[in-house]
Amino acid sequence: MKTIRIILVLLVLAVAAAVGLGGYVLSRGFSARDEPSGAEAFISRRLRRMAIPGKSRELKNPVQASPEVLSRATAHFADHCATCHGNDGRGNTLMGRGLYPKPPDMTEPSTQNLTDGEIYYIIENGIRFTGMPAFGEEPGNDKDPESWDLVHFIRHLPRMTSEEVEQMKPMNPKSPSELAKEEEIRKFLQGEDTPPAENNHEHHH
Amino acid sequence: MFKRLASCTLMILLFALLLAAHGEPLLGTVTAVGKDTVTIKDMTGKTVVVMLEKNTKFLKDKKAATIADLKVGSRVSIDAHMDEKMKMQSAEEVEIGSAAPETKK
Repeated sequence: MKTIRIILVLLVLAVAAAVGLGGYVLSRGFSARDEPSGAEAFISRRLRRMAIPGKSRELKNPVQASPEVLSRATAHFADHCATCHGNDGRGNTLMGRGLYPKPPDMTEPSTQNLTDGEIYYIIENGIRFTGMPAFGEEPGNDKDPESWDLVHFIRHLPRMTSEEVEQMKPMNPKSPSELAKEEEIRKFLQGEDTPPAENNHEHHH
Repeated sequence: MFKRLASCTLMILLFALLLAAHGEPLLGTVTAVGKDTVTIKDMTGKTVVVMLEKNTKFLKDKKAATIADLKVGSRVSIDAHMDEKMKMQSAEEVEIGSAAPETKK
C-alpha cells in the first residue's frame, strides 16, 4: 500500500514537472534570440562539467607554449572559430549573437577557470544542444596538437591587444564578394586607382 | 492583400534603412579635419561630414594610429553608422591609406 502511494506521488511529481517544463518551453517559444535563464545556465554548466570524464579533465597540455604555437593557433582560431566566437573570443558576432545559448565570453572566468583538459575536451567533442561542434576527428584522441595549440590561444585571450585582433581579420573566412570589396578598398587606400571624385575634380580644371 | 503588400513594403524599407545605417564603408579623400569631425569627398564627389567619437579607432597600415595621422588629402575608408540623434554619420573605424596625401595641383 505504502509502495503504491510512493509510486503515485512520484508519478504526480513527474507529470507536474513535465507540465511545468512544457509550459516554460511554450511560453518562451523556440526563438534563439533569448538568453538562457540563470537557472538553465547554472544547471547546464554543472552538467557539462560533470559529463567531462575525470581523466580528460586532468589532462595537461603536452604542447609547450611559444610564439610559434600562438601564431599557429591564432590563424587556426581566426579561420575555424572566430565566425561564432569573434577574434577576441567575446562571441559578439553575427553568428554568435544568433545562437542559443550564445557563445560565452571566453575572456571571463567561466571559461578561463576551466582546466586545460576541459577546454581540450570541449574543442574535441563539442557540446550537445549548443552551436559548438566536435572538431576532433578521432574519438578519444587526447593528443591532437591543433586542439592543444588552441588551448594556449584561449588562455591568451584575456591579454589580447586590439592590434592582435586587427591582425586576425585577414585570416577570417570571406565570401568572394567580401574579398573583391576588400581588394577594392586596399587598392583605393594605397593609391593604386584614382577615385571618381578626383576625376570630377580634374574635369573642372 | 493590401495589408500583406503594405507590411512587405514596410519590411523592405526597414531592411534598406538597416543597410544604410550600417552598410559598406565610406571611401573618400579627406578635405578637412576638425576636432571631432572629418570631412571627406566620397567616390561620387559628394562631401560627407563624419563625426569622430572617443571610441573611434584609427588604423594605418593595419596598425593603431591617431587622429594626428589624418591629413587633408589622405585617402580613407570609414566604417560608420548613422547617428539618429545627430543625423550624421558616426565613425567606428577610420582606416587611413598608406598613399601620400594628395595635394591640390
